[in-house]
Amino acid sequence: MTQTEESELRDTIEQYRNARLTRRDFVQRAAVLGISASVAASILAACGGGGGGGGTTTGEEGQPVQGGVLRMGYDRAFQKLDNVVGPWADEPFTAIYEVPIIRDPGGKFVSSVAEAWEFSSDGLTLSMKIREGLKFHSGAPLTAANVAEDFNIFRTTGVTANFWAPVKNVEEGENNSVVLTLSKTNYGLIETISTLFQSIHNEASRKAAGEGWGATTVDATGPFTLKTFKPASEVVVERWPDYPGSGVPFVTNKGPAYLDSIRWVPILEPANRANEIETGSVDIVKSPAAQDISRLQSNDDLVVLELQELSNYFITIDRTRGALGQPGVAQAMSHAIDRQALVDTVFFGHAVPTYGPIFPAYRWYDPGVEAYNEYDPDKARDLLKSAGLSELRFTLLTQNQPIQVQVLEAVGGMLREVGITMEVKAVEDAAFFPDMFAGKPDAFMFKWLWESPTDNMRFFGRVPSWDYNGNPPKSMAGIDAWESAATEEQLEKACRQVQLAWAEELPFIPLVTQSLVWVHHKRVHNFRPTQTSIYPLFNDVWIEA
Amino acid sequence: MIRFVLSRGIRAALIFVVASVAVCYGLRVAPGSLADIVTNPLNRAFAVKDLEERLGLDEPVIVQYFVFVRNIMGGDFGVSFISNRSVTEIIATGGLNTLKLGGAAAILTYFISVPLGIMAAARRNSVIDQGSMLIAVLGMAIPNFFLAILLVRLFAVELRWLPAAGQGGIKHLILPAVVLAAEAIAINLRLVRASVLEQLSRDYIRTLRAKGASERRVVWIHAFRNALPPVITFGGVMLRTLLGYTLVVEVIFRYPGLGFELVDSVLKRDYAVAQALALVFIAGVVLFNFLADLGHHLAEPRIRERGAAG
Amino acid sequence: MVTPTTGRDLATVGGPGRGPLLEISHLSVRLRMRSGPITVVDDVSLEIGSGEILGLVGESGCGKSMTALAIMRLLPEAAEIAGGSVLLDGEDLVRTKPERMRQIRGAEVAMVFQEPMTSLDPAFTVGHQVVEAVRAHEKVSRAVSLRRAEESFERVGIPKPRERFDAYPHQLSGGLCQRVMLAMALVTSPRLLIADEPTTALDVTIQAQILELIKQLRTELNLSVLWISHDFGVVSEIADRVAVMYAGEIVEIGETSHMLGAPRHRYTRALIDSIPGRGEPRSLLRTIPGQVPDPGARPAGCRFSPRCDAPVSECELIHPELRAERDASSFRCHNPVA
Ligand SMILES: Nc1ncnc2c1ncn2[C@@H]1O[C@H](COP(=O)(O)OP(=O)(O)OP(=O)(O)O)[C@@H](O)[C@H]1O
Ligand SMILES: [Mg+2]
Repeated sequence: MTQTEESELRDTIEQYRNARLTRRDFVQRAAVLGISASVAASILAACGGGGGGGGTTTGEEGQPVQGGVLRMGYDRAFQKLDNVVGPWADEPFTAIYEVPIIRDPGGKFVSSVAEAWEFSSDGLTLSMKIREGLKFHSGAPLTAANVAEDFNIFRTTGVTANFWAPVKNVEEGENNSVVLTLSKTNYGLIETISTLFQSIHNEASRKAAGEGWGATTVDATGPFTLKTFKPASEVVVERWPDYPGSGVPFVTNKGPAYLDSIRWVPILEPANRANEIETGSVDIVKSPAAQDISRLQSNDDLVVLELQELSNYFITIDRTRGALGQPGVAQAMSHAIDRQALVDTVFFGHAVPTYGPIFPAYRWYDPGVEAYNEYDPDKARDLLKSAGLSELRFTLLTQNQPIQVQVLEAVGGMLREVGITMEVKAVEDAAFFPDMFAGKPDAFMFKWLWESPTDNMRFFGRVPSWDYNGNPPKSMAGIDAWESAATEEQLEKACRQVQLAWAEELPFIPLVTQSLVWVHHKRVHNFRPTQTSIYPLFNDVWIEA
Repeated sequence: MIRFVLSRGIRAALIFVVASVAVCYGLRVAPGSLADIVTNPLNRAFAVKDLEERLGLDEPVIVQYFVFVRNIMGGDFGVSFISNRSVTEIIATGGLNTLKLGGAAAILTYFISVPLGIMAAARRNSVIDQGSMLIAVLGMAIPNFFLAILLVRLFAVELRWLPAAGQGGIKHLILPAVVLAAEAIAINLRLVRASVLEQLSRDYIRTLRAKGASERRVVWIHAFRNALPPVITFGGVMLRTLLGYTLVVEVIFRYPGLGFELVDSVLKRDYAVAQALALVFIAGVVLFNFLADLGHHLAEPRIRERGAAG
Repeated sequence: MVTPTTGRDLATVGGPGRGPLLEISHLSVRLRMRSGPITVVDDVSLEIGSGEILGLVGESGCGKSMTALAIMRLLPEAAEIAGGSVLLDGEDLVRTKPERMRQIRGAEVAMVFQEPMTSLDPAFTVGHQVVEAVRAHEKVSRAVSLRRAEESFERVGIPKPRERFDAYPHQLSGGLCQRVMLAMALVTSPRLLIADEPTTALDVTIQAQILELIKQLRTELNLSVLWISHDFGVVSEIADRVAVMYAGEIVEIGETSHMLGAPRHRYTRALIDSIPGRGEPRSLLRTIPGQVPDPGARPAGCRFSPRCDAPVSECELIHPELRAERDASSFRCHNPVA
């Protein structure tokens, strides 16, 4: 961001605060200033403004105090905190682990364990310089050799090993660096390297811990160490007094963490989350029930932060099935859907419509997508007519979860308006996934949730075993471009290309992106979730005694 | 008496064997698999394959069953693949918590429903009777999760008298115990009332009154004593139901008992934990049935007589 | 020892202490039914002298038990005393306070019931139940009440009382249970015993023993007894006087021997005729044709008229009044047996 950009932005922020611009207005105005929606969103988060409500500010003022226990209500049951083969990365990951590279609030890749990185001019070699003087919780020093060892584990046995496919070789380089050799240009590898499943750990400790890794033992580099792991009831981490300090530029506390410990408890029932923060049995909760949000916003003791979740609800139709494959059918469906109405009714306003494959807060979001899929039932009818269809009928498979079912009820009604009959079959996950992966249904709805939105397009856009989507040419060309981008500029270009192509061809039909809502008590300070990571960092967080 | 205990013991053992097969088999062939815990499609394949290998889930179910039985016989319930805690430890800590909660709920149930039920029966159609029947109707009609939300809003959020969730002292037990007990109170209230009422219409009650026994004695000692067998028999059913409800209530109140652990382990396909906890629950059910039988046996002199004779 | 009071004129009854032990006047009992109230005991007047055994006889459903329960104020919930008085030694039981009534029950008026097996609490030992009867009225130690119970058991002819104490009712025979009931009734030395068909459920030999026992106790304890039965034969063996009840009202009352020899009411005669081994030899067991009318559907005139073997014209229209005879017996009939 340049100096001028920053000052103009400041003004807009002022306006937002004083004149109470709505969030949407703010983001739009910021976009006019050439500021990406993600930056705007993270600023909004910092302002503590959520969806035009609350308007309270996170107390940045005041001197941080050392000590205290932060009690976090988590919206899921915990899985093992295993960075290599763990099935899910839960919140404590960002307290006990550090990733090599991290996205800043604006989405830019910045240093963490790696202090610098560079692609060779041909784009086939990536060297990463590892910070000096780092060590693991166990006291063992951390060098480039450890990182190289970890990378080799990640690309062979890690859960995201398939994204490492372009990497031919990883070895320790000179000067505390790691050198990755690629078989083809793939700047997007940075996306992968900055996800939580590439968190750096001490492989020797992991080997020794065996099954206990992530449960009884974690030996990594984050500012907290694992104390208790009782996944059904609590996960507790404690300050690591010997933490050498964060290498992340947007973390201001360069020493050990302020908090003595953080205790997570799972609050699985959405209706209970608001209750628990209101009664003070936790200091922070995530994802309260939508109907509770406005009540929480009007509570003077609480701060409600609202971000766009790194997710998207979408519908995919199988274009190999008769009428569903007619040109224009997906577009007709898309035009028939009033996304804003979905946002207002199903999500109580705590969501945004998505007209392209990525949510608007993404740094490379291209607003051009919005022109493609506007709500226009007449156009939908015309499209169906020119496809030679007087009526269209299909069955859609979905997970049997309340939100999913509600979204589809609304969508079903909208489609009926233009003469499309969608029968919804809601099943348990156990039945959903096998059928979906086997390509059994005419259509399905799913919500992806992942730090790298483009990965989802790569995954859901073309999985060879599915005959879905008919490989729409422009979209697939965009993905090819993404996968072979050699520089960040090329990556951004590919990203915009793929978004526009996607919005036009609709390999899947995007619907809405839900808000990610965090609520914290005012005595918690510097709690700053960003729009670009799924979890916040905890080193700056402090709590009033 | 010994014969009674022995025959029930053998029956319980049989139920247990069948249950162990059902649990082991059921968990594995039930729709769904380890894949369900890996909700992120991007990393499914790897994680699942890896987990299955490590947990021996690639073996045939029969083999898995015998490994399971052999381990149990050796007192080894295994280790949670999620938390790496020994299942024995999970059962011990969770069991103690559930025992506290269940105990509190049972105490609440009886201390409310028995006196109220007797009073309602003794003063039929009085305000007490109508009030207690209202409680009974509400207790049966309101689903416990809904009651939980109502109570939490009122007592935790609005009045701030009690914590909304979690584990700690007696205060943390009150709301979950009330929610857990609500239906049992309702059913038991009706049962006590109906049973006492039935006894009050018996001939011997007239005899008691004819000999000048006080009304209090007639109702609270004689009618109640005779009204007990169905209440005790139902007690077993009730404890069993309470045990089942802990699954819901513990999750809602984030109370780390066996129910919470069981739900969690089943959702995560943590087979070792889920199997062992399911067996603990079955053992609980068998035990409560046995206690109900035994209670009925001891409460009813005529049955006791027959049991001793044949 | 008091001689059985016989042939006393209702009009000559004096004040408290000098009059009969129990004096029932114009007692009515009503049942609250959904269709409206029904009178099941209709203007009944009776008296029982000290040491007297009064038999109350009538077919099933005629209101005998209701009368007895009204005296005890133990009517079922649906029933209520609609009028009249029950004077026990001058004290009106109909109007006395509940707590006082409780004190009277058992202590002054005791009652035994028809079904000995179900009339004892199945959950307590018989010893306990008898002791309880003592302690309901007297603050005595457990030991004393046990001794009293033991004596009472012996009195009613239960051998080895202590060994029976720990038995539960279901472990005893019907006869033994009825003796326990009697022991329980008598343990507090009441002045009046109401026996509502206490022998009906028992076999003939046991029945005879019990009857013998009652007679003996009457003499020993100067006990007054209201003996209820539907069997005139049984009543005739034990009662000094007999009151015959039909459809809620007394139809004839008089001295037993008198009545046996010369019944006036045709219903009484029919009852006597149906005593096994009596009446005309050719019809050893004559039953009365027809049925007792439902309390809700009683004939307007004589309630017995539809079943009567010699009705006259008034019978259907005019409800006969109770007519007192010179010998202090009375009956309710337009066409009495000569
Ligand atoms: N609880 C009750 N509810 C309704 N009707 C009743 C009830 N108890 C008695 N009755 C009726 O009251 C009338 C008198 O009954 P009661 O028991 O006094 O007759 P009883 O002469 O004692 O007959 P039994 O020889 O069968 O004992 C009968 O018609 C009977 O049907
Ligand atoms: Mg009777």
